[in-house]
Amino acid sequence: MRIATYTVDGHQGVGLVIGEAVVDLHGGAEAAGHDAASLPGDMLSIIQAGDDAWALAEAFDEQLDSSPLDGSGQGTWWWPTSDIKFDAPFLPTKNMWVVGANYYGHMAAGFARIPRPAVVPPVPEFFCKGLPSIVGDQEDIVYDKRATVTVDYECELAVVIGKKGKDIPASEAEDYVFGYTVCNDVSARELQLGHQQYFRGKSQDMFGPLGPLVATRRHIPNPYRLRIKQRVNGELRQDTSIGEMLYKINELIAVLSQGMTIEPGDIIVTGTVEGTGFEQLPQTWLQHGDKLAAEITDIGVVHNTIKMAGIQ
Amino acid sequence: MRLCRFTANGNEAIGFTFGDGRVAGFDAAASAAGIDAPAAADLRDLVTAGPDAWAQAQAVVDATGLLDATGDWSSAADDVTFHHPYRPRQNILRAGWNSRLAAGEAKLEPLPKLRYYTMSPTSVVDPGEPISWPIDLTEQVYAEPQLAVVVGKPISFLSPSEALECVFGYAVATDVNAYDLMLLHGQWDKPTSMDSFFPWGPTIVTADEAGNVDNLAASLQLNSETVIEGSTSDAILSVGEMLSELGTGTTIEAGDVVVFGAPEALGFGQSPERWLREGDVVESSIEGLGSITNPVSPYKRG
Repeated sequence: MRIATYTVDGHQGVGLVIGEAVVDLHGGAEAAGHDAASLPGDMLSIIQAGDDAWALAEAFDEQLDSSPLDGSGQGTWWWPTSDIKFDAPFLPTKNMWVVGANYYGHMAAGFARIPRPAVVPPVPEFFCKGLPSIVGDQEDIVYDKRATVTVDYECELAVVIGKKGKDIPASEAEDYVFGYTVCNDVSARELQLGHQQYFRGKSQDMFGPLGPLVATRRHIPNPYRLRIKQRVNGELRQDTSIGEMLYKINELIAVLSQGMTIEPGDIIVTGTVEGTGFEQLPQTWLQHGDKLAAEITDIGVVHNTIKMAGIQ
Repeated sequence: MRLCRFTANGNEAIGFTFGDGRVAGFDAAASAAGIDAPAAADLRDLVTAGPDAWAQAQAVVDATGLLDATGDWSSAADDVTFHHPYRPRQNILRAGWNSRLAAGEAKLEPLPKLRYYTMSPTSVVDPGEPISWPIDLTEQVYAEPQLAVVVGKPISFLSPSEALECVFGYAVATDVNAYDLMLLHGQWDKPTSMDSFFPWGPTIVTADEAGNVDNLAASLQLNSETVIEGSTSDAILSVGEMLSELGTGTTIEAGDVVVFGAPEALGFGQSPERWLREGDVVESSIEGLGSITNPVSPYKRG
């Protein structure tokens, strides 16, 4: 299923995305005769609720897939996607984990600018993005020139963890995945490199667009067949297969969980591909008014507009 | 106020320490004094609840000053089990290299920009609980005595003095890190985030009682031997300066915990190098804030 947190007419809900429609999980399930009372009201709680809740939602999703919506219920328990806003799916209970240097193309072109040898790191390079960075689709990314003037984009596959675990073997790691979403790992390059540890450069407020929805593992049995694409003002800047990922998702989960408990709702952002502004000669930075569209095929597109604080 | 979370007679409570080794829960103390307890389910709630709730907590502490300190509304601190204050809503923020001494040990010249990184909230652990890691994963685990800054109001584009005004209180912490893994991973968030790598508290001392936090003695005892003696005055940036810089573009939210930066680190700072091992006992102390003691016990992965 493709599950989203959406807002319509000032009301926020959790819905299933069926083609070009969003069906409210609770209202829609009740209209279809399911008992939705056991389903929590927000996406994080649904993820934390575990297998039974997911199975109920998946069953409703299958039913919707096989029986097209008619006009009844439109505007009460389902809407065309054009009528709603996709919010960030949920706020996790800790920072997002993000992996640096996890695609050769980005590493080779990016490290040439530092300079640093384009060698695959001996272990995954995990850093974090703080919660105030998270925004949803169609929300502005406002940078402040008192903090940064080197704003860049990085479209990445984000893995949503569904199960608690620690010291997880790579061979079992797939069981811990709930689903996938899109993260634009917007970066302040002078802060990222100046402080050497990346947190500040990666965690400027609003620098972590997330969404537009979470596609479950059942919907995406093989994420390595998907493509990462990023458009800036309509121009395609990033376009690479996720099959080129260096440390695969199961290896990332195994290393991350060494000595450290991972929990339902944790988000692991798995690295960007070539085509960032940092790699260009000369380097190019995002400017007021630039329109970003970060896409992963079969999941969706997160649209955000860059604004500079103080400019209307 | 000196706030804490503890278990007495099987019941967990949030409350305060006072007098000569006494501790009381807010509910019991407020009831004994005949006034309302602050509305907060846990200490994070109280820290984020704002000035009215803080004033109510202070009113309870003040009102109990008139009661018999050994009444059944309170307990001897020795008779209760203290916990860490709370699990933060997002990662613990960490200022690395905020020390002229540590920078000197690593032969960094000129003094570096601070390294800001974060630790997963799953790393918090109670006083007395073991510091533990997979024994085959790292051979270079070390500990630092740390000032933990508990933020009470959002910090975003504030001056150092304004940022300091947003601090709710302070606590002592032992910051545990795996040095070989920090070098291996390059980024430090994961090697410092292992479960049990952040013992903190048990007491949050409110800012009004913490004194000049830019000049507090900090020390680390390893098996009762003092191995680190330093001061928060060794820092490159003061508490206010650090919060101001970190809060430039990245909002530091109420309830966030920010680790200030070590006066000095055990491990690579020692000669010869001394890494933690099974059976060690680590105690961090900061002047006026108290101390926290944890045994060390790495584990074998199944």
